[in-house]
Amino acid sequence: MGDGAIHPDDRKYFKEHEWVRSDGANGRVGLSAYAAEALGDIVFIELPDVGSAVTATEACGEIESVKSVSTLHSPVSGTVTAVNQSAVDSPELINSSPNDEGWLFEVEMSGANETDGLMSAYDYSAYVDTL
Amino acid sequence: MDRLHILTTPLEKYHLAIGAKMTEFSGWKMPVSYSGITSEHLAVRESVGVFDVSHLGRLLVSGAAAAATLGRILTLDVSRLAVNTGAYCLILNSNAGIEEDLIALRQANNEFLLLVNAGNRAKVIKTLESVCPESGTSILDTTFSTVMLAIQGPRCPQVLDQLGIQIGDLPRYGTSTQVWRGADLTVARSGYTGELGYEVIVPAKHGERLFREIVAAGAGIGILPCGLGARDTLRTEMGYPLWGNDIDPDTSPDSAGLLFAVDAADHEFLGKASLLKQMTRQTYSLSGLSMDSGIARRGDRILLPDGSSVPVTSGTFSPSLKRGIALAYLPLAANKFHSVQVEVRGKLHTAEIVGRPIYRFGGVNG
Repeated sequence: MGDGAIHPDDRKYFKEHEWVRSDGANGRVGLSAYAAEALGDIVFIELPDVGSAVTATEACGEIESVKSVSTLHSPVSGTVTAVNQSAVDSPELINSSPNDEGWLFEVEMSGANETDGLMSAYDYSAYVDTL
Repeated sequence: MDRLHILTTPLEKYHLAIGAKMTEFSGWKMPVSYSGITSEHLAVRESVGVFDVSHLGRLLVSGAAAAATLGRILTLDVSRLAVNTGAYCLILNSNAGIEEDLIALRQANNEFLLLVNAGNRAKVIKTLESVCPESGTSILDTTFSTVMLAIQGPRCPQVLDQLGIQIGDLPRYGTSTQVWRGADLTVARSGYTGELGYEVIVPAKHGERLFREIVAAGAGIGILPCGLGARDTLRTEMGYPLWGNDIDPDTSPDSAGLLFAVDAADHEFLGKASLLKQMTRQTYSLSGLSMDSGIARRGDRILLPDGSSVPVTSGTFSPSLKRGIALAYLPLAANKFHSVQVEVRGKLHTAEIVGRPIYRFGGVNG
């Protein structure tokens, strides 16, 4: 994996490389540092609309780098309450700060157990080492 | 090409040490990017970048009959080339389909260096072997004993001057040889970026030293090591076809806009008869598209007013224009429209038909 791809342990990770940081009711979703590094320069993103429903593990948007397009998955189910307009306007934020300023959208989760099936930072880092 | 026989550049360890991400291309493992495709692309457009292009085939064809023998295969009448000049040309099949696009450099009266696509090297050697031995012409594959670097961008002369590499006033595809700090160099004014650029061939053992020296010499003017990712976005902006994407054995020089690479007067070559016959029936031309939104990728469909569709042959994000750009074969009749619709993953986007080059602000167009 790319050097410097750091995965904070204050959040959980889905195998398609999205993270979610949750307070039990609401979750903020972003792209993992590993994925941001692997995709290279991100130039365009399409996020779910505010108010729309997202379903855990299902496609909810797109991330385009110079060379390729990838599907964005929601790691949790719920209703989208906000999108990061800064990341839409300046997708390079996702490369420069995947864990913080480059977050993607926020969800009012369907339940407090939405993150139960997701990986810890430790497990996710071990998982991407196998890719 | 099986994975056990993947080919590697002599500079692989060095590339990894300076942070390259590697990719597989035409059977070779080569750098796709170092600092990021966008920054590498812009370094070449605005200042200078250096690429390892050792995957390109280098074939030395020599002998008293070399010019006559090559002339039967290439669309270029190489007997017309002065020593130390060269040209872009093609190898056609009997249906005038494009088997290869290449650069031929005349290094001496009886010696030509062919720069060929990595994926077609074996095929070109086979074609040459079908005519060369009988005329006493020899073929030497120097791909694995040499390294080839491309130094591209408006400020590349400054870097080469500083290193003491002589470029003189070489014209486009002009070439020269020299000894640089104990290493034999072949320099050609060539590239695939649309900017002023030179390609340098050096014995493999000197390759890493040359790359390091180039990077060091350009440090003050923002030189970046560049990978195949930027090479592809740069060439797509210029509308240069990539063999295997935009040209192949089923496409012809007329529809690909490559007739400039064909010498048809007083020159007999493979595929000429078919080419002359079909040129009168040309119905498609390789066109450049600039997207109003979205990024079309290879294989996405362009919807035409009559209900038919054609595929995008190359599509990428343009770091210079900050939008999606694409190449596709459009019917000649479509050129009366200013735009077409492109379907990208189920959504329609408008693309302007802009011709080639798509990016028109390059330094000297090579």
